[in-house]
Amino acid sequence: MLQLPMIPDIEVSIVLLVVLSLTSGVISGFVGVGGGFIMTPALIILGFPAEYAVGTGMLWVMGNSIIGTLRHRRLGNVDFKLGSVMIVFMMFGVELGIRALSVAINAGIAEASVLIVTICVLILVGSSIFWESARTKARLDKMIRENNKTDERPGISFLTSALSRVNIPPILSFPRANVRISLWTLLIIGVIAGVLAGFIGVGGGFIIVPSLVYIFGVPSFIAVGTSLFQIIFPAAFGAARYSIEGNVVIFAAFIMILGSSAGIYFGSLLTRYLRDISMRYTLAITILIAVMGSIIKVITITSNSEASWLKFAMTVITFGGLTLVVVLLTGLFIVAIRRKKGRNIPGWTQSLVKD
Amino acid sequence: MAEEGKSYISVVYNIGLVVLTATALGLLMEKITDLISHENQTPETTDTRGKVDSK
Repeated sequence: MLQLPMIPDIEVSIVLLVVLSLTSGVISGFVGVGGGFIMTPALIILGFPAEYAVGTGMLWVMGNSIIGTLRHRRLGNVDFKLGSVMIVFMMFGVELGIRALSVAINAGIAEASVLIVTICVLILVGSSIFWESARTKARLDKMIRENNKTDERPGISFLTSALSRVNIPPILSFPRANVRISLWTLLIIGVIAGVLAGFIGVGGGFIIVPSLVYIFGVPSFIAVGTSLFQIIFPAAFGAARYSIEGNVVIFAAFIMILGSSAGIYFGSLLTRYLRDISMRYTLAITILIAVMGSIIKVITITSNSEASWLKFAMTVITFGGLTLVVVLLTGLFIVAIRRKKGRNIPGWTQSLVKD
Repeated sequence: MAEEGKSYISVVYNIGLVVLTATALGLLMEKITDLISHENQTPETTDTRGKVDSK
C-alpha cells in the first residue's frame, strides 16, 4: 500500500496503480485517448477524493499524451495543423468545464456529478462506436468471404452526414489527414470536448477520436496521433488549474507515467499490425468498461453503502476488464505476426488484423 | 501573497516534472525503437494516407 503524502487518511494499492497505468498506456497508445476517462473513475475507485482524482488524472494524461505524440509522430500519424486548430477551441471549453466543477464542489456534489456526467457521456459514445464497429466488422467479414476488396471505412449515420455537410466558410484544408472541414464544425466539437475535459478530468480524446473519424472522415490512425497531440495542451492547462488549488498528487502521477510509458510503446506498435476496426472496437469496449465501474461507484455513493462486494465488483470490473482488453490485443498482435509469416489464423480475426 | 507564490511554484514543479519525465521517456523509446529497427531492417511507418487515397 502507498501512503499518499497530500492525502494522509488514504492508502492506495501501488500494484493496482501500476497495473492501471500499464493497461491504460497500452489502450492510450493504440486508440489515441489520453486515458483520463479510464483513469479518473479508476482513481476514485482506488480511494482518491474526486478533485484529487481529476487533478492527478489530468497531469497523468498530459504526460501520457506527450509520450504517445512523440511515438505517433515517428509513425507519421500526427496532423499538427488540425491538432493546433482544435487546441484553441478546446482550451476555451476546458476553462468552462473547470468552472462548472468548482460550482459542483461548492455544492458538495462533486463526486456524484463527475461520475454521473462521465457515465452519460461514455454510454452514448461507447455504445455508438460499438454498434458501428459491429456493423463494419460484419461487412468486412462478408467482403473477405466473397474475396472482395475490403473497405473498413465506418458507416455514415444521419448526424455524421449532416455535420460533414456543413460548408460554412471559412473551410480549412488539412493535407496530412486529407480532409477539408468548416471552422465552425471544429469550433463546436472542440468546445464540447473541452468542457467535458475540464469537468470530468479527461483530455477529451474519447470525444475527439470518434469525431475526427466519424464526422470529419480522418483515417483512424491519423486521428489517434492527432488526438494525442492536441490532448497535451488542455490537459496541461487543467493540470495547472488543479495544481494551483492543490488537488494534484504528483507522486502518484509520476508512478503512473512511469508505468504507462511501456504500455504506450506497445500500444503504438499495435497500430502497425491491427486494422482500424480493431482500434474502434477497443475504444468502444474500454469506454463501456469504464462505464460499468462508474455505475457501481454511483450506487455506492447514492445508497451510502460500504458493502465489500460492491468495492470488490468495482475493482474486478475496472481492473480485470482493462487487463482483459490488453490480453485480447496481445492475442491479436500474435495472430497478426502469424499472418505476416503466412500461417493460418482464425477466420473471425481476418477482418481485425492487417495483411 | 506568500500562499499564492507557493501555489504557482507547485504548478511549475508539477508540470515541469511531468513534461521532462514524459519527454525523456518518449525520446528514450524512440532511441530504443531506432536500435531495434536498425537491427531488424524493417520500415518504421503506419502511414495510412496512401491507403485512404487509393480508396
